[in-house]
Amino acid sequence: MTPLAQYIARLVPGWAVGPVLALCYAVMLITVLIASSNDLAQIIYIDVRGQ
Amino acid sequence: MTALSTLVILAALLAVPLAWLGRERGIDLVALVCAAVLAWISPLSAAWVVGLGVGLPLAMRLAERNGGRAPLAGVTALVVLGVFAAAQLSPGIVWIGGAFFTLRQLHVIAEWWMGRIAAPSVASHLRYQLFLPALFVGPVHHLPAFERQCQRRRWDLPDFLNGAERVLIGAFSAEFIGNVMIANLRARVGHAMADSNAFLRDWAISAMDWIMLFFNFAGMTAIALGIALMMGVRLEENFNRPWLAKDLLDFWSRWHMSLTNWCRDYIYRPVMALTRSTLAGLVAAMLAIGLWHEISFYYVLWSFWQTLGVVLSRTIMPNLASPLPPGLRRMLAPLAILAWLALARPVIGLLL
Repeated sequence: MTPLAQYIARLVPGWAVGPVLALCYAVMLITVLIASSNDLAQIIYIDVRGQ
Repeated sequence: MTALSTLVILAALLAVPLAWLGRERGIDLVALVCAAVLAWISPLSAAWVVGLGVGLPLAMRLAERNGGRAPLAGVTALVVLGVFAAAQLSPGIVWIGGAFFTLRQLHVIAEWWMGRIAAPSVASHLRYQLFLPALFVGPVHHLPAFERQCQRRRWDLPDFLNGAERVLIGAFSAEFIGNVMIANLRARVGHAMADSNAFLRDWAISAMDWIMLFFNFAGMTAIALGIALMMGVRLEENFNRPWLAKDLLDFWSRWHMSLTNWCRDYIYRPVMALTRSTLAGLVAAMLAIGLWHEISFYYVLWSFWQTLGVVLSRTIMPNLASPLPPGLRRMLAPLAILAWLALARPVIGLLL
């Protein structure tokens, strides 16, 4: 089990782990896709100098 | 996410299947993709990394046979540092990943000079320097550990899934929590404090920037470590819950750990051994960390500010905090650390 699956397993019954995990992944993925239209703040640690 | 970061992350994800086309051959293919991506977006960086990636091991082997280990190490270290400084001070130059591959190059040179490693093969050195997931966001991993990982890696589905999950959580952290939630909060704080004292406003915004920086950087690092794990390579961790630190020194040993460890090994310890002074070692290490961020007078002052914070946190602060119950002290410590870190910008702003 992945760390997130282990965490969810502590909160919900065993049969619900799979669906809740899938829901979490879907929400995160959609959020990332929507949010990625914004430019990430230019920080020194992401070293793409000159861009 | 910047277009370039997205491009490199997508290229690294696309390289994951290639990594499984052979134990070492697979990582060679990842290095090839990395060289191609780098050559496309920054030919200069590609030429430098590949050139040194090939030239350094050959020169090391020559020096091992004919003598001259120390001069070669000294000269190459100076050249590497010179190129790093020149690239930093030339804003027109597109220089991708220099902050990280410079430290990796110096790590190889220093370890070889001290006799801890033999000259690596050209292939092994190129694999190490051109490991795509760690190209532009680190961590500054170590050559011997990386070589071992490449030799021993084997397909493991749970590891692969853990890596994929880490990529997703990292992207969520950087893109949504850092770039949307905290960025919005930062804008609100700025708006709410529009009429406040400029120093206090700058301090508050600087604190928000530190929080945003954490989610962005830790998120991007999680993406890098996750993709590496999907390739079967477990890289060094870069964060160890920095906001649970008990003081500033503890914070710096939990934040960007691969950089801090690098500075501890190659700056702090040698300077301390030479001068017999912990303070001199600390000042030198903090100066290296500051100038690594940017070669500027601002970061020189920033380094002194951080050194002062570490000294205060180990001398005066324990006495000041001693009347407080231990639980309350633990709760207040992260706030005090954030306040000190964020205070650097307005204070240095006053000095400059």
